[in-house]
Amino acid sequence: MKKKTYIKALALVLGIGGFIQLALAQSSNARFMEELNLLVSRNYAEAERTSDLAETIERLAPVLGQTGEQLIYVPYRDRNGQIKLKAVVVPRNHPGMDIMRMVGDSPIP
Amino acid sequence: MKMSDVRIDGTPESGWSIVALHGGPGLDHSYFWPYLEPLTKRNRVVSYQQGTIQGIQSPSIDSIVQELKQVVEVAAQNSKVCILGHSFGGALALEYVNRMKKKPALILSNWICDMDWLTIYQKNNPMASARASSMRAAQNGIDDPVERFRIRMLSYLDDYFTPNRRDEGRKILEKIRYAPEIGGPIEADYCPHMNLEPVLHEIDWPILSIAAENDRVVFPEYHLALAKKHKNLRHQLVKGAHFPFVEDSAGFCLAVEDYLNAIKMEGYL
Repeated sequence: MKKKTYIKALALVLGIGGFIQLALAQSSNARFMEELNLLVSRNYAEAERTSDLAETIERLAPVLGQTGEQLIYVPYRDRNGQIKLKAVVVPRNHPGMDIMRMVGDSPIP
Repeated sequence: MKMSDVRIDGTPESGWSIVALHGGPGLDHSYFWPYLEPLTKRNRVVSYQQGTIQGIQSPSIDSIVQELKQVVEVAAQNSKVCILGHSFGGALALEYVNRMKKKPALILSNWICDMDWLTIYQKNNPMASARASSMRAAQNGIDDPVERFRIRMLSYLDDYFTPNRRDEGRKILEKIRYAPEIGGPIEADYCPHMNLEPVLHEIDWPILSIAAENDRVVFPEYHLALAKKHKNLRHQLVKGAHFPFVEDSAGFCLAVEDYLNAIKMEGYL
């Protein structure tokens, strides 16, 4: 009986721990997604004026990497007006993808 | 407009002038030739490099539509006008129709009207990531934008052409006078927002939509889905890949001729 109780208790602790970890990860992802949404849901013209867009995404990318499935390249203009690209991991079907997917490394249609 | 910047072949014995719009943005019209020559037997064929006529200072979709307007005016002399838009040229053709409220005959080949083509490309093409990585490696350390553009095109050679046309395809891509100063700004500022499906809803005359069975850039399923939604699109699957007129010039030109013969000229621009 004691052994069974111990196993049940352990399972409960592990379960709660896992749940907390998952909740934290989801919260972290949700925060990231919110921030990313803010960035990419603006129109592109505004995004390209945000000179630190690439740096912001780069800082956030490791967080998204926990669930990230896809590496894409985000176009932006540097301070000299040149169009450059930064790598970023994003989940598939992210609503911001409409803005973010594209240019620079795709075939030219 | 400097006529020297516009290539005009053939005479409009059929009554049609065909304005051929190349893809990109940032490529040129050299890749149409000599593959569209069968069309010049009965039609006038007009082609040019987008953004180079009179030297556009600030390249944008607005400026290349205005430029196209001038070219169409030249093409319309003594004939009706058919716009043949290839790839991105298809989007330009639809923008022209939308903004100018004109009614040219329309042939859209391996064309795009929004960015869903890229999603399908990434989903369907197992080599997409490898090609992009290979391209970035080849571009590494190269600053010249023209050379970077050329490398980008050549990196996707295997997607653009079927295996037995790749040698020829390489020569075609090598010959293009790349214009990143035109293509870059339009690709960055216009393409992410491109959505021309509402224009397709408004067009009430038949459009020939050509897809190629082995196109590994704009996959034929993209065109098929559009044809299911827009009843005025006459979907035709032809041989070849992204440049079907290179792979089967006679078959491609026949499809164009058949369309022009089938529609009545009245009412067209």
